[in-house]
Amino acid sequence: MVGENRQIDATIEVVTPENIAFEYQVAGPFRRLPAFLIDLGIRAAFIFLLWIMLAFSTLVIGAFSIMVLLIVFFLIDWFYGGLFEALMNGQTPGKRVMGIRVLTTDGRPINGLQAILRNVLRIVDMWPMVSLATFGGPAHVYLLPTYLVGLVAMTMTTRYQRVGDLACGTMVVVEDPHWLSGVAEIEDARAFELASYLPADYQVSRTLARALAHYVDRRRFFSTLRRREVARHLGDPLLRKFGLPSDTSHDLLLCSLYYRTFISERSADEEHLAAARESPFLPIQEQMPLARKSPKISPRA
Amino acid sequence: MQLDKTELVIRERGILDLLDISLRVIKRHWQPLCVTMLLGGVPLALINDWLIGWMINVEYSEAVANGNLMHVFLYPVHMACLVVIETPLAGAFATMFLGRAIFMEELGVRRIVKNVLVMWWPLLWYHVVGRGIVLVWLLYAAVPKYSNLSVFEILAFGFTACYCLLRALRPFANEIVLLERNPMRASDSTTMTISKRMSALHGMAGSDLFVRWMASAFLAFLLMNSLFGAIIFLTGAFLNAWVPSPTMLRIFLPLSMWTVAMFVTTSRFLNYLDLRIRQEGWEVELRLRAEASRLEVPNL
Repeated sequence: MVGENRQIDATIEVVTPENIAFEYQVAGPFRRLPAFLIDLGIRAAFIFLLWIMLAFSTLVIGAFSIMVLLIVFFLIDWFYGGLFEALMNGQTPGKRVMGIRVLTTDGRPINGLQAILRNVLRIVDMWPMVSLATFGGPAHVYLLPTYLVGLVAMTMTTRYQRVGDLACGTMVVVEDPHWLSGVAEIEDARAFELASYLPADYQVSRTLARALAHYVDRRRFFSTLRRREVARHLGDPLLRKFGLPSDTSHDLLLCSLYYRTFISERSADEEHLAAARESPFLPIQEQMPLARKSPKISPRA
Repeated sequence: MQLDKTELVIRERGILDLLDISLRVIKRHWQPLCVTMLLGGVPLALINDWLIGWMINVEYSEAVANGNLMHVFLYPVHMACLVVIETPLAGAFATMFLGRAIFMEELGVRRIVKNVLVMWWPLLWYHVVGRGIVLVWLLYAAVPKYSNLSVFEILAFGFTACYCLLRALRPFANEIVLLERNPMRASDSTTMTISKRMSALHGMAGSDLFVRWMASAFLAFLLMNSLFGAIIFLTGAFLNAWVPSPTMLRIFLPLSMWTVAMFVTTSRFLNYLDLRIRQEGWEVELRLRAEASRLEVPNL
């Protein structure tokens, strides 16, 4: 099965009808749980306050207040989530605090009907429920939800969809802005110096470029010892390949190769671009490529 | 084994994401995980039943009718103590399986058993002796059956609390012993032994690990109740037995707990990977090692 060979992850790619691809991190049952508990707390607090208010007003308006309480309880219990998700673009207060949002499976905002329906169908996800008879109460009054149907449905679907989501074509995604990362900076000037000793015609493969970028991005979090330990794996064969002295710092070597691959080339491109912009007669497209498909090292002039 | 070809996308994650991903891992490998958990769990479940099975000496329905619910909860609480303490030992085979499956290498049951048994002495030493499982077994075995349990309960719960604290701060004993395979002792002071590795890996992340353990324990508790509640519902719906009988408690309650133990073992393994990623840049190391092995291969 093709799907079974895919790497396990919580991200999915959504292609919109406009043919634009987005990558979303979908929220699973445990990621959603704190939002659910916050919303549950808000609902419970609201009903408790209402109950206190009505308890006082019972003295004045009598049994009518009980009816009001029951109606409000019903409305909050069934329509709290749907109402907020419809008004707050797929978020309840709990979801907003936890940074998650409901979207349609094609990445668009949900409409009112979807918001209401996916929340009404929560009752299905709550099953099986434990009867009060188990605790000596009246038989066949099911009050304690196990949420096992929802859990199984979310486990079995690639977008972590519960039954309500499957029925409405929705999913819950994480709003996580830290996915984008730029080019890392190299602070050690010796790396620039060492870069000039690297063979100018050495072609960095795509996987090596990725590995270098990953290392330089993360190395600032490692201790000096750990840097040595990690960089040694790739540093040793590179030193042999480049014919550099064996006591060259592996960490410095990887940084200099990173500099050659990502920064010096980019700086050259930027200088060309700036020059092109200054000259009104220079046709930019013909003079140089504005974007590279893959990082590679070209011989220096 | 290709070191940058992992079954799981290797990157830093939060505890809730890891728990979600655990469900995915269990879904993909449910068969080998069930088999390996059975290998580790069945002997321990039999020992537990022998140790505390006698506690279900009151009909649940009678206790409910008499309002004597405290007595009914004795067995589940003691069983929970035992399962919590034994979960790492029971999960040894599953941990070995997951350690290989992450690199897309699925071992057969025989190889898994063989690989675990190679490390049987450190494993038993760290879990049964070092972490006191044998003490708990002796404690439960020493209690006179059908006796007043108050002093014994204080001892058992006290020990479980201490054990939980220790495990919360140093949760990855299985992974260090079985997957990293450091020696127990070394004549050379620079050699990384199991104890040194335990301190090095867990030392800096103590408070973070404790918070993660608390969250996992809370969610495991919810999950266990959810599973057992579903079993009660099913027996009620199909057998019209809405009140669980002693036999049902004796079979299905440990079953629910061991099922959750499988989930906990999986999520603990993923937490181990995550800690190594955050502290040691494990994913960077894997990538560089894979790249180095590509460089070493001569071009044909």
